[in-house]
Amino acid sequence: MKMSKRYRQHPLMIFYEIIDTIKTFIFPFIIIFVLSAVGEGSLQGFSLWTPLAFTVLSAMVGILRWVFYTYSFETDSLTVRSGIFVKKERVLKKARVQSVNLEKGVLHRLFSLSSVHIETAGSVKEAEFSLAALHKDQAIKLKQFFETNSEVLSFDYSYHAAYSVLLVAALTSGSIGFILSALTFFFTQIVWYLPERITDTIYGWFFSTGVGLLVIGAALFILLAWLVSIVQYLVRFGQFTLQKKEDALTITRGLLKVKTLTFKAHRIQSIIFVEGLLRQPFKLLTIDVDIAGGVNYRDQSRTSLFPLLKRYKAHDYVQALLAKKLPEASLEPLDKKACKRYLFRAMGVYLIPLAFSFYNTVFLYALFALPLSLLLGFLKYKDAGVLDTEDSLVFRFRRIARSTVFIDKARVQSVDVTQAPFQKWKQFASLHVHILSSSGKATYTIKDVRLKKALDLSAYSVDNVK
Amino acid sequence: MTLQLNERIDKKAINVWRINALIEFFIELALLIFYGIGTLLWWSLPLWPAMVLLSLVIIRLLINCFIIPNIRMRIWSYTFLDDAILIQSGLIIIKRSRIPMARIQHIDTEHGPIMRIYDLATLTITTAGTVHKIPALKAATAFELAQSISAIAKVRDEDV
Repeated sequence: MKMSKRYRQHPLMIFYEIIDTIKTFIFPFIIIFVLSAVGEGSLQGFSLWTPLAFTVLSAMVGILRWVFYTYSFETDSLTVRSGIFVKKERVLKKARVQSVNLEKGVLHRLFSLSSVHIETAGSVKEAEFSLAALHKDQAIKLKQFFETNSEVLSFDYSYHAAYSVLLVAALTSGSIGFILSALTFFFTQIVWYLPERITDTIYGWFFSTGVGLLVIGAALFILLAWLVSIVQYLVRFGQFTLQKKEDALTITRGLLKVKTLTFKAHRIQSIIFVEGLLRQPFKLLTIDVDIAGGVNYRDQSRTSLFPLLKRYKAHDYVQALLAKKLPEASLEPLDKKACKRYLFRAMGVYLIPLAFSFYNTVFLYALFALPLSLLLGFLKYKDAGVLDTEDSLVFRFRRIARSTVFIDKARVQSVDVTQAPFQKWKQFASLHVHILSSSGKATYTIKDVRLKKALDLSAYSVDNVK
Repeated sequence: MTLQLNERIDKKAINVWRINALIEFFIELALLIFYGIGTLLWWSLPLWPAMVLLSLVIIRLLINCFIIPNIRMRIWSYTFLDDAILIQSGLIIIKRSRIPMARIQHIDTEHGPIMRIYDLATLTITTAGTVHKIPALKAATAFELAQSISAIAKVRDEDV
């Protein structure tokens, strides 16, 4: 039997192993620590030595794991052996591998290393298989091993997002709302833990200052949240590059942690134009895709192909990249009578504070947000639309951002037409289209289409399945 | 008016559901009787909870026997077309699903002992992303369908 050369990971793997072990056991240790601090004397001496002994022990285990963790290349497969006592051997067939992703953290970059995640068909959540620390050359060798003809480093298509583009994208990313609530939560939590003396001073100061100062404070707070969202965006999407080689698309992004994602273009299930609230006025949008199988970045359920584009260029970019013409005709809007239903739906939420207002009139203040909700409801109605062409289905809907989804009819898994009681009354229905995505399934919904229209659409979109 | 599809759930299913309800009822009754006897003979516990529960259990039996099966019969309908399966269900929210044959990954049929007596089966249709169910149809029909599907649905790699 021919023995092929066995490789080992970079020793930094030991460090990651130790961190992993400590992560698993940190909570029990904290509990022991707290218990011994408040408890009887018997635990006290014990608790000081335990973490030290534990670290040494986990380091030893880590070293052993590193020693016994080897991989080797066969002609059409990769064999990985691991395990100290229980030996494991896994063979990854070249043909079954869907994607090979490289990730570089700050520590990785110091040692010019990379972590490698290999995904095979069928793995949805967890990467089938990961190597924590490989030397860069080895990682690239591994990647090339699974991608048959990628020795040539030329691409059919290449897109690099300029920093000016990314900066505009960061300014308009719209994650400020999320960060605002996170910061608010953080500060309100902190108040609980501060000593009473300090909180009293803060409250005193808060109520003694004028309204003007409070407004300035709030503005500063929002500005802070915005800055955080900008930095966060740039860290995630900095150095965004999209490259195409035959059927394989490669996306590289990240400022501190560089992430590389490779997937086959034919696994794209839908293309989504997302026009965020801050981007729409400037006619800017993001192009996302749903990809079948466990191919995605862990911090995104969908994958962004282009972080920011001008609206009128979007179709051209998709065609240049995927050689696919998206339908450009304008969408069919909803029946005018549906408007009322969208407005009622926007009001529905306010029944809760209204009910509570019998208990305390403070809840009535919630009604101040009603005009905003009604406006959003109206926009949702105005933006909703469908387009049914020979081989694709186009949905447009708004949650906060406006999304336009292009789905190949051949990619539709199944279609549901649902009718809630009030919809039955006026012969309206909601149309749900299920397709595959990296998290398993994605469902796109248009509410309040005419029942007849919905049934027509549902039939069409599946009759055309290959 | 609500649209209905051609095929309905097999009428014999009503009997299956009633028998299931009866079995559940007797199990609950046995537990209550055990509690009652125990309370009378050994424990010093109040008897009234058992009485309350008994009346609830009886009400549940009546609902499960005479209301729910009829409703279920009314709300489920389905059709097998050449290229797709249509399933409609729901009393308050009506759901009408269309599952293309080419998308079906596998079909499961399942029948418990009582369903077997009546020669019925529950059909579960799975695509790559969704799961659909028909609660009761003739076992022979279910089996036939499963067979015909496996002939059609050869999943091609590029389609997933």
